[in-house]
Amino acid sequence: MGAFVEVNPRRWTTVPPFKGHRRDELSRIFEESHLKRGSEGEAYDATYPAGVVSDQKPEAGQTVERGSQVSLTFSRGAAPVTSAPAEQVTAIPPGKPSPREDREPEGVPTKPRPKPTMRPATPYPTAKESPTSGAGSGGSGGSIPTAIILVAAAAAVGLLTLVYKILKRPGPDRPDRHEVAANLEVRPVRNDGRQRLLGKPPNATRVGIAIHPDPGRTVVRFHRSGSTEKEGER
Amino acid sequence: MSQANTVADFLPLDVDGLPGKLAASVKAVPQLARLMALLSTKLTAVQWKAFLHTLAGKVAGLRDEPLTPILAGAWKDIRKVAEAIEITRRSPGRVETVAVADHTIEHEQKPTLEVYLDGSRVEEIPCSLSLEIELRGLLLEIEGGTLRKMTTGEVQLKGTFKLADVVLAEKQLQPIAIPGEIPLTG
Repeated sequence: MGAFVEVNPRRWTTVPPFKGHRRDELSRIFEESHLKRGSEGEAYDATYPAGVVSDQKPEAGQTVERGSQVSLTFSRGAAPVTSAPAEQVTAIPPGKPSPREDREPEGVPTKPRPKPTMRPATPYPTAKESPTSGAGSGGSGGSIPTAIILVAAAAAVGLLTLVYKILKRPGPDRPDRHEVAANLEVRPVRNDGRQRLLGKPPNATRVGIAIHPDPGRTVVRFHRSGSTEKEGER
Repeated sequence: MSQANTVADFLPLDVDGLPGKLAASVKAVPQLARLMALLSTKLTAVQWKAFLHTLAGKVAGLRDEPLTPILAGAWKDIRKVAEAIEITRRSPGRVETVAVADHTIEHEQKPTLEVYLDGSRVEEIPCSLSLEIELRGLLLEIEGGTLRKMTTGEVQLKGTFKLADVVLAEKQLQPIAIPGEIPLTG
């Protein structure tokens, strides 16, 4: 009873190395190797830059049937190194994806990732960096964490908005509710920084006088027969 | 006997001397004192004087009140006059003449001057105008529901004009001449 070994080189293929390749390069590699894309995921990996294939199954060099699926894992870069309050991260404007999210294609299923509380100090760490830096134990090597920069930027935007509202609020130049009877424009002794911000002449102060009339009260008294009183109607 | 059509005719003021009078009244008028303290940080002495001149103009302008609307407003509620107004309103073309008994009209106004600094109200200065008008031998002509004409025998007037508690103009009761016939509206 003999054993048959099917030898048909056209049926088999060797898995090429996907690691280190970017997403836009994968289609060409899959086409050349007669393989299909399998499941995809993401994981922190300090060795590979974010967005680059960091792991594959099966490994490169293995012989598999043509049309087999290759599962890929894409690097998310180095893992966060420190923790920060969650609300600081939410300072990113809603609806605007972060730079990391920009690199993810839509519709591709991804593994549920741990919620990052701080971005990595450098988005593309090199292999020369300490491997412990991806485990969250190391510092950022003196660089300012991105979250802090974002929080500072958000605070600056809020401050500028507040200043803008203060400068635009109704007030100084608006006519009052009564007829303004007179206006003097004079130069004060002191400077007023706010006036300068409002774009008025730097040293001008406006003094106005308005008349608030009173219709008055009128009483009629007859000399002989009592009195009649009435309120003025003007 | 002077003729008076407005309060200003009866209570004349030295408008040119009024700024000086206001400056002298700063201690007596707390509103002016506060205003001076506030504006002293913004205005020079010359500018403060200019401000007082403007203020004086506005104060003097408060007396530009015509007398006849004050009188007509008072007479409208006298019963005989009100009846005549109603009758002539219902009968177009009919003219009613009403003799009003001797009486005194007391009228008081309390306008205020509001001072604004860069659009914000910083002070309110109260003024008051008091009038006492004695009328004898008054005849009113009423047509179409309105007072058309008045004819007076004798009119005496007394008045006081004050800025806060400072009397700026005052006249004791004295006869004044009102034009023999004054057309009235309303």
